[in-house]
Amino acid sequence: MTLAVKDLTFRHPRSPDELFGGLDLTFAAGALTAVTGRSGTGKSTLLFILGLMLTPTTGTVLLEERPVSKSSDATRSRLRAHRIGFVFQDSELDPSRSVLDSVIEPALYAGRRRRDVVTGAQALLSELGLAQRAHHRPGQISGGQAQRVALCRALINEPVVILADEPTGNLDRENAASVVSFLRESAAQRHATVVIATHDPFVMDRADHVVQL
Amino acid sequence: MRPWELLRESLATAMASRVTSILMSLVVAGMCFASIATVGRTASAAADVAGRLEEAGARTLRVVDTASVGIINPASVGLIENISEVTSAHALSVPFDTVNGAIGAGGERVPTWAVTGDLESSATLAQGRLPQPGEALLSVETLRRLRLEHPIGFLTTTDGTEQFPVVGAYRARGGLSGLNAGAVVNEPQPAAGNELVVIINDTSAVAATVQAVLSILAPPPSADLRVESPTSLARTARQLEHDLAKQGRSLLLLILGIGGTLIAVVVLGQVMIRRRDLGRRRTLGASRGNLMILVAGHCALASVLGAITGTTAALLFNTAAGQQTPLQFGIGIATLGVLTATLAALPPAAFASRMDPVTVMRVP
Repeated sequence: MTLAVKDLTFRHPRSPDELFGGLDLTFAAGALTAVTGRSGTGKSTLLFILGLMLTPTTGTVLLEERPVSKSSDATRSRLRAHRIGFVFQDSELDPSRSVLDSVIEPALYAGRRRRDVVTGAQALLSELGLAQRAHHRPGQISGGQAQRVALCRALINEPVVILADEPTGNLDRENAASVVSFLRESAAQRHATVVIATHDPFVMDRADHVVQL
Repeated sequence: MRPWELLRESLATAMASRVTSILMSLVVAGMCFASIATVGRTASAAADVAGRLEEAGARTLRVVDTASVGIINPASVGLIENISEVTSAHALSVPFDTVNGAIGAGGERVPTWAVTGDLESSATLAQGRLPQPGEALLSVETLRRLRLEHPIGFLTTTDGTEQFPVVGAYRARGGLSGLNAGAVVNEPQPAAGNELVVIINDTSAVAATVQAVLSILAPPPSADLRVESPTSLARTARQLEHDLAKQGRSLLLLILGIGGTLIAVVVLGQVMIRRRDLGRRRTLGASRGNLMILVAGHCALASVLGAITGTTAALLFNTAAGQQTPLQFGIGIATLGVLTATLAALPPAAFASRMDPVTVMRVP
């Protein structure tokens, strides 16, 4: 068990509504789980809780069987850097940095040297057909390419959990298929737990498990 | 993050956010320029005033034994010379007239003093050598007045009872500059002097040294001493230095305060503009400490550039205005400018590190 939640509830500070109603869930390692639901049911919130960005009102998050959701901020930052990869809806690349620098960024937060991870970052970019774009700026590449760069960035620290919030929301079908397929392969090959928050049936059709909130 | 990578990231951020980096540099450059152009000048003026006061005799103590009780003698001069704060001590006799021995009684009269104490400490030998007992030195001014090319011949008292071979010429300085009006002789048998001239090392030691000198002289009740003490002048000099330094400090604090506030505002603006970038970094694993260092580091790097520019410009400006500002002062102000800017960046940096990344990242 890589990632699980027990008895999870969450209440936004200024909202009377409680989310999740004591959710118990285990996310399978090596599989892609799609979390779906109507707008406002807490798909993204669940992802942020799993990513240790939000603290649940009750319940706990177990990462590699350890309760981590109430850890100190420093510990959660360290876990995010070392064990969790994030993919955002619109890639969120630094427009002033090269594609290669963007991929390397989380490795620096994990305390690694730039020179030690350049080769690995280039290999990831090659794997996703972006080797020629390594020194381009995000503004010089397409949206699909940018999202693939974001995937490389999520994988640079070889995380055990990859969290993706609507990663195909801004992509056409071809690019969406490529992103989902890569996430599935990553889950299988790296034995990582991949959780995608989505309302896209295209993604749900390709997921190993679907969780309806 | 490793320190080197933090520095590298800060530099990359500084390069990417050119407008704010330039703004920060300009504020720090302005701070350094204003500090050096104002406080530097004040400090320079204070040093100048202090120097002039020192030269003007703020360190010279004169004691005149008007009743001739004989307390200013070679023994007391020897003791006073040994006081640690005393640069030199000389006993001068009541001046007596001498004339050029070659001309005789009709010659021009030269005021002459018998001096006890190390003459070299307050006079420069311009020609010849120091006098042995019974020999005389002419001041360079007197030499010229007597139309003598070289200090040769001898001086004789107007009644012709004593003769002093001339063996050199001198220029007296400081408290003994009055001796430039005539000649000095080394009495074969030193007698009690009429006037004691003491040069003190430092104006701050004047009051204590005056007390020490008077206790050595230990004037009897019958003595009638006239003491020209530089105590009040020294006190004025100290007060003036203190006032100028205080004024300089207040001005410097004002400039740094204004500069620091401007820097804090610029950095806060930068944080608000970059909140999505900072939120992304937090999400990807940057710690709060990392973010603080990145924000403050960006400011520190931009400040270094500003400090170098502002300090160089101010030093050149002061030089062009004829005011020499010490380089160390410039380096000190530049360092202070960078430190102030970095400290001013800390509150907005702390704010940046405390921003909720979820709120930021949810904004479409």
